[in-house]
Amino acid sequence: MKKLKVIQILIVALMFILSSCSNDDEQPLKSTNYVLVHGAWQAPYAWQAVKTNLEKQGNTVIVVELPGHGADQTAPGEITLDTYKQKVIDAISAIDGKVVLVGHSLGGMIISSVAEAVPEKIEKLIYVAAYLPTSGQTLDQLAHMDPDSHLGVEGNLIMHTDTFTIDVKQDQIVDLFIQDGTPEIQSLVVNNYRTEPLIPFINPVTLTEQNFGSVKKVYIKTLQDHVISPYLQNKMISTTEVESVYEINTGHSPFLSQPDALTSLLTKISNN
Amino acid sequence: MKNSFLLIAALFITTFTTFAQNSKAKNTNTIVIVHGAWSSAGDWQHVADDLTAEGNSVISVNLPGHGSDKTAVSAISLNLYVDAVKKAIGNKQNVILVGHSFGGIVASEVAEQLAPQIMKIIYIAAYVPKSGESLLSIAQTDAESHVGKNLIVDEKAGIASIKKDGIADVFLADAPKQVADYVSNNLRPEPLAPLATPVSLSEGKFGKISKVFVYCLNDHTIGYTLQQKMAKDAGIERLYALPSSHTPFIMFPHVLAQIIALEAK
Repeated sequence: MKKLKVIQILIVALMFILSSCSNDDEQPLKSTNYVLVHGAWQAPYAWQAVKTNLEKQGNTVIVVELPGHGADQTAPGEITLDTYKQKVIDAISAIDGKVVLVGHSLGGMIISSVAEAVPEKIEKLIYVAAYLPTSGQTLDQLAHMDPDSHLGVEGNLIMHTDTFTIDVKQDQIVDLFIQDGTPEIQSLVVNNYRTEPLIPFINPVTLTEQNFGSVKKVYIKTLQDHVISPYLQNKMISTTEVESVYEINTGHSPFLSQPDALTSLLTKISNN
Repeated sequence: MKNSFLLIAALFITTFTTFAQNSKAKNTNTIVIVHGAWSSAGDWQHVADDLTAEGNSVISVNLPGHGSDKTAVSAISLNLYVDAVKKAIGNKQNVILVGHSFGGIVASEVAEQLAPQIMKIIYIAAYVPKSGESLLSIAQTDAESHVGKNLIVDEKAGIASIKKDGIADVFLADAPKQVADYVSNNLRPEPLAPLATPVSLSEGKFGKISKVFVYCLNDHTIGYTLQQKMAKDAGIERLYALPSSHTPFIMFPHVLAQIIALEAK
């Protein structure tokens, strides 16, 4: 009996696949090249679950480790936004064909300047709770247009001039980045925390209509975000032309709190 | 976020921490700072100290007729400024010229005349002239500047001043009141002739030197739009932007020093 049921399901599935093939509107999932760019105070570890999910679906995924993050030992005093941009361009150049370029938070500044430099390599930009700048803007400038962000609470940011880095207050890490995660995930974020190079926060991006403007953009809003509030996210979305906007009901790090839901969204967007 | 978080952080360090004097490997480059109008080398003391502590060799030039220098206004010309900077540079190689405001005009002319010795020019909320332009010819195009409505020109004496109650707004709207008051009470009139003197620059010399621009986003002296235009026209691609008034060396000395140090490598 049980076997019969399995066969029935298989037949139904097969019929579905066949009917999908005959229907022009419903393409089978294609394989996509993803390049994922993490944000400030984070590193590739944060995207591991989403990477694994996407790879299981047959996609290729590169998570770029930004200089001065994760295990990279570049001195913060030598790092500018251009340093990040170049690292991402190097990763993209190694891939045959176009990529879906995903940026989180600070990563939004980076993928924007990458799209300006190599628009022909980019199928789509996906901003996940990311800064979406206009030409001439810096991250610092965007951040202080955000009265709801917990980054602006006095004392939450600490700058070190000897190492030229900026920290968030230790006891605010969870509230800022992962207030909606399990205790295990919260510990993961705290344990992987590293101080952040400051200079890239004050490097403006230069973007043009011909290059950056020609690349399709999608924004995934995070509705419980304490770093980039929905207010600023909406503001940025209304300033730059975005093809479509999706929502996910998480804090600043959906790839950690709801990796499966985020994976589904990314897949849906890439196949649209 | 009521204030820029950089500003909060800057206040934090100014108040609570001292700069760590970790001398790094000395490099052979020389950083030469050229201050702006209504200013002097003294304004750059904190930045120069930071850079020196990091192992850089730094010369902060005090232009004739500025600070405590007693050169008569009638003796002052753009050439005199250019010569003062050239003298400070001497035969040094790998020079990083840092020009603030009007200092950008002086630095550009010096770079033209000493091109083989100049590695880079860092413009900090500075005028980037094209050949044939003067400070006044560029400033006249600046609709966002607050200088025009506060400027007092005394052609007979050959000097220009800023109305006393406009000084804080024009130069340092983000500074604490006591600093703004001190500056307002001690500003020396600026010799007029150099501000009206055009520079002579060539594509082969000045044009080939690598350039950096540090924008001041809340600048009431040189509007952000003009800053961006000058950087774009000069083909400058290495850019920084501080949430600062026209005088970032007052509120952001450490950040500014770090940018200069990074670019001087």
